[in-house]
Amino acid sequence: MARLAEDADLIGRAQRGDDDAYGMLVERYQTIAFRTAWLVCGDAAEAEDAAQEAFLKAHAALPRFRPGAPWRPWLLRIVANEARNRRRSAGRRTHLAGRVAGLDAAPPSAPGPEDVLLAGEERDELVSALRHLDPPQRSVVLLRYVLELSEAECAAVLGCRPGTVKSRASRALARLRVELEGGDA
Amino acid sequence: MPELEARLRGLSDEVAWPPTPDLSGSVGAVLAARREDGHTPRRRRVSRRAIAAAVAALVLIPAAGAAAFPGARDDVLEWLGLRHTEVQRTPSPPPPAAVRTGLDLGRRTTLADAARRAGFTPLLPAGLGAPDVVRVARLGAATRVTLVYRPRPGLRSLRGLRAGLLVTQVRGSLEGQLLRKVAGPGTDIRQVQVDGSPGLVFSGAPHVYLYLDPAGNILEDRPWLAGTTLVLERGDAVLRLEANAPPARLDQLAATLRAGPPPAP
Repeated sequence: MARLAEDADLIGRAQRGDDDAYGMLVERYQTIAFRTAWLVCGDAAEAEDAAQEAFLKAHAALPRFRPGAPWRPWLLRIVANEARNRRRSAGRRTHLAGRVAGLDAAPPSAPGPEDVLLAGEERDELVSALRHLDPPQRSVVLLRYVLELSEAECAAVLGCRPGTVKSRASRALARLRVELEGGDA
Repeated sequence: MPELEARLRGLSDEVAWPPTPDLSGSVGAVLAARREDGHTPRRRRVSRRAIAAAVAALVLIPAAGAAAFPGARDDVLEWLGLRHTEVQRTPSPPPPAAVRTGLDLGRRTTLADAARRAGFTPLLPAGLGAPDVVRVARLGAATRVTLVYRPRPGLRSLRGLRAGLLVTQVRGSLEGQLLRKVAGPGTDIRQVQVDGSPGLVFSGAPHVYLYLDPAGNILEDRPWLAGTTLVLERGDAVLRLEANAPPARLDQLAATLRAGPPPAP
C-alpha cells in the first residue's frame, strides 16, 4: 500500500509538471517495463526503444491518468503495445509465447529469452513441458510466473480480461502437471 | 501444487535478463530537451481532414503541378530512380484508418551511439564540424539519425528551433517501404545532382512527408519548418537537409558531406 501511495504522490507531482518526480517513477518501473518489452519483441535494443517510447507516451498521457488508479498495469499496457508495434514493424511474426521455448519461429539473430533458458543442456523437464503448452497458455505462464506479473497486469499486456488470464493460467498449470507426470493431456 | 508455481518462478532466475538500460536518464533527457527546445512533443495524430485537404490540393492541380517542375511526367519517372525515395502527387488519399502518430527527432545521444544504433557512420558537412546535438529515432526497421547544428552565419534559425540546419539520415534498409512526399501547388520541386548523387530540392510552401511502414501504418513527418529541404540519396542512405537558407547553400553543404572522423570515446 505504501508503494501505491508513493506512486500516487509521484504521479500527482508529475501531472503538475515535476519531471524529477516522473524520473523517479521511470526509475522505479524501468526494469519491469524493459523486461516486458524484451519478452514481447525479443530484442534488447528494440525493447529499450519500446520501453523509452512507452514512458514518453505515458508522460504525454498523464493528464488523462485517473488519480488513484494503479499505475503499473496502465504502463505495461502501453509498453506491450509499443513492443508489439515494433515487432510487427520488424516483420517478426513470432508469438510472444514462442519466446519462452523457441517453438514457433526461427530464432532471432540476437540471443533471446528462449536461448538463455535453453543454453547449454536442456534446462529440465519443466522447460520441456512448457513446450507442449499452446502459445496463449505459454504466454500467460511466462508473464504470470516467470515475470511475476499480477493477473491484472498480464491482462493489460495480453489485451484480455483478468478472468481470461486466470482461467488460462489454471488450464496451463493443469496441462503442465500432466506433462510433468508423463501423462498425455 | 504450489511447488509447480515455485518451480516456474525459479525459471526467472535462470534467465540472464539483458541489463536494464538507464531509461530514467534517457527519458529525462528527452523531456528536458523538449522543454529546452520550447515545444511540446510534435507527435500528433494526422487528421483525416488534413490529409484529405493536402491531397485535394494535388488533385486540383494536375496542370499546375506539371508546370511547377519542368518535364514533370518524365522527371517523376526518373525520380523513382531514387531507389528509396518516391515523390508522388497522389491522386487519392491514403487509407485514413491506418494513420497514427508522426515522428519527432528522437532521443538525444552521442554521435558514436547514433552510429552504433544506425549501423552506419553518419555523414557530416565538412565545413561545419561536429553537430551540436545528435538525435536518433526508430523508423520502422531502421534507425534515423538527425544532426542538429545551431544557427550561425548563413544558417538562420529554423522557426521554433535553436537550430540552423538539420541533417537527417536513414539507411537503405528503408527499401521495401514507401517514402512519399506530398507537396502542394505552392511547393517548388527541383531535381539536382549533388556530388554525383541524385537529389530533390523542395522549397516554398510547406509540405509533409508520409512514411508508409511495412505494417501499413502511415507516419507523418512534417519538416520542422519548411524552409528549404534537400532530399538526397547517398550510397545506401537517404539524407535530408533542412535549413532556412537558399537552395544553393544546401547544395554546397550537401557536396561537403563526408564520413566524419571517429568520435572521441
